[in-house]
Amino acid sequence: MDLLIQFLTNTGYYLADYRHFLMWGIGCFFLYLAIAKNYEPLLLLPIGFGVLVGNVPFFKGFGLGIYENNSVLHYLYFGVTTGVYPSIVFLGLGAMTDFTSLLARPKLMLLGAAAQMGIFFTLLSALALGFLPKEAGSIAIIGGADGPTSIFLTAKLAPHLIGPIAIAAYSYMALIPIIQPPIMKLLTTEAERRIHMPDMRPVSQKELMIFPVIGLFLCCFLAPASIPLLGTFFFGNIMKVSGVVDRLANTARTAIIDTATIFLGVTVGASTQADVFLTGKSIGIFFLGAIAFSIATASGLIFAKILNLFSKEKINPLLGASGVSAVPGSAREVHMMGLKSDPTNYLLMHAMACNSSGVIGSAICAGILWSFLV
Amino acid sequence: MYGLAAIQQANGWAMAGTGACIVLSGLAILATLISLVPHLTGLFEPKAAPVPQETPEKDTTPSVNVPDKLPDDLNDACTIFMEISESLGDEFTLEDLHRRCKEVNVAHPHFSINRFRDAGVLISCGEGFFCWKPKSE
Repeated sequence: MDLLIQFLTNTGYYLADYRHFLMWGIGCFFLYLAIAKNYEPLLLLPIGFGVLVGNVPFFKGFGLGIYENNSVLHYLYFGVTTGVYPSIVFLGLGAMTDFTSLLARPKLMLLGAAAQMGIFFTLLSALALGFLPKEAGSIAIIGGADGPTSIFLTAKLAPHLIGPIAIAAYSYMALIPIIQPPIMKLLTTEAERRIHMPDMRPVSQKELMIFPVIGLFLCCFLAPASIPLLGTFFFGNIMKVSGVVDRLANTARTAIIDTATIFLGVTVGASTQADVFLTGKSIGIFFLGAIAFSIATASGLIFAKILNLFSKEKINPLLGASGVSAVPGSAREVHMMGLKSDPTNYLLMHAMACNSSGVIGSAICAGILWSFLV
Repeated sequence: MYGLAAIQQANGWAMAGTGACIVLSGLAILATLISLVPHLTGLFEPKAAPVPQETPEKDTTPSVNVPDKLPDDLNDACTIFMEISESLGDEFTLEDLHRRCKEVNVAHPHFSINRFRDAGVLISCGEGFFCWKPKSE
């Protein structure tokens, strides 16, 4: 009888409290968004299930939890805390990204830079709300709308906040169709949304191959702390465009990035143990994350309008909203918004140019913040 | 510590200002450099031997008046495309239609062609050829 009672007191049902059920609610909500709404399913499904796994109550000291040494989850989580998974994800992203549209119209890169202003505004807001500088830097990077970059920087600066920051970053990325359109409508006129972008010039293979080298030289020399992200990103890209290692490029953009995404998602989800996640700081992080994302979108739009004041060739200001690095969600939203105003206005390729420069911009910002705050 | 004092204490203004300047100027320089790349690659390209000028063949395809901006209405846009494709005959490949659209300076022809395909106005006649759906159908 004692054995049975001892067994029952060690079960999750006995150890659970309201916080575990609250986290299970959050995990199920993520699964719902991924499966029923098809919002970023590649990320939200592993994270959502990871939240469920991480919030199964267990007896501390058995080496089961993600924060307990020698547990299996702890070893898998090692890839997050060391920044290995984000780096591998960037390798795959590089092998997927087509820079043709960006090379055809380099001016659009400025919109990717402008959208990073949300990061620095949020840095100030987080400091003003009483977060420590390293925590503020980690929260600010949510404004880059780049999950792996957010996780990478947080792992370096404030590892105790990885769970809430990753959840906030990926939640807002998934909620792009809800967050961005109202801001786009508010800051642009119907006439501006109807601006057609001219056809792009053809880009040679040589240009495509030179770009990763120039990009690496300029960005990583400027912010060496971004090497783990941009180094692998540009490496992946040169594998793709060189055409001589198709097998490697194909593996990087399929098996490798998929494997890293699975482990990244499930361990980040599992890191949201109720006792670590349900704190006042998490609420502050979600609040600041929403501000960061909104300001990033707005600053891209406003910068495009400012460019139009000085430029003969007008840019559709909607493209500024795709300067955040949520690839390809924000580009898709910009394209849809353009089509709503004018069914013959196709902005997708131009928006992808801003989107890919946003990826580079947010990785540079991560490097800058890391070097400022380390 | 909260508010402006906390920002001041952490050197926040300087970090935000410097960071923003670095990322803006970094990407501006990168944009400038990549805009120079085509000129640089052009310098190293072997110059092509001068090709004897041929008298241009007289263009026998009828000229089509294409507006700068295609109408939003699918049927109106379709009428313009039908006029453009007249010289190709009743059945044509999408490649030929695209080439012909480019010749008469239609912007983004592939998107419009895709719209016609989705709307079932431009239908397959088999073996890679396409034709316009008769209006009576």
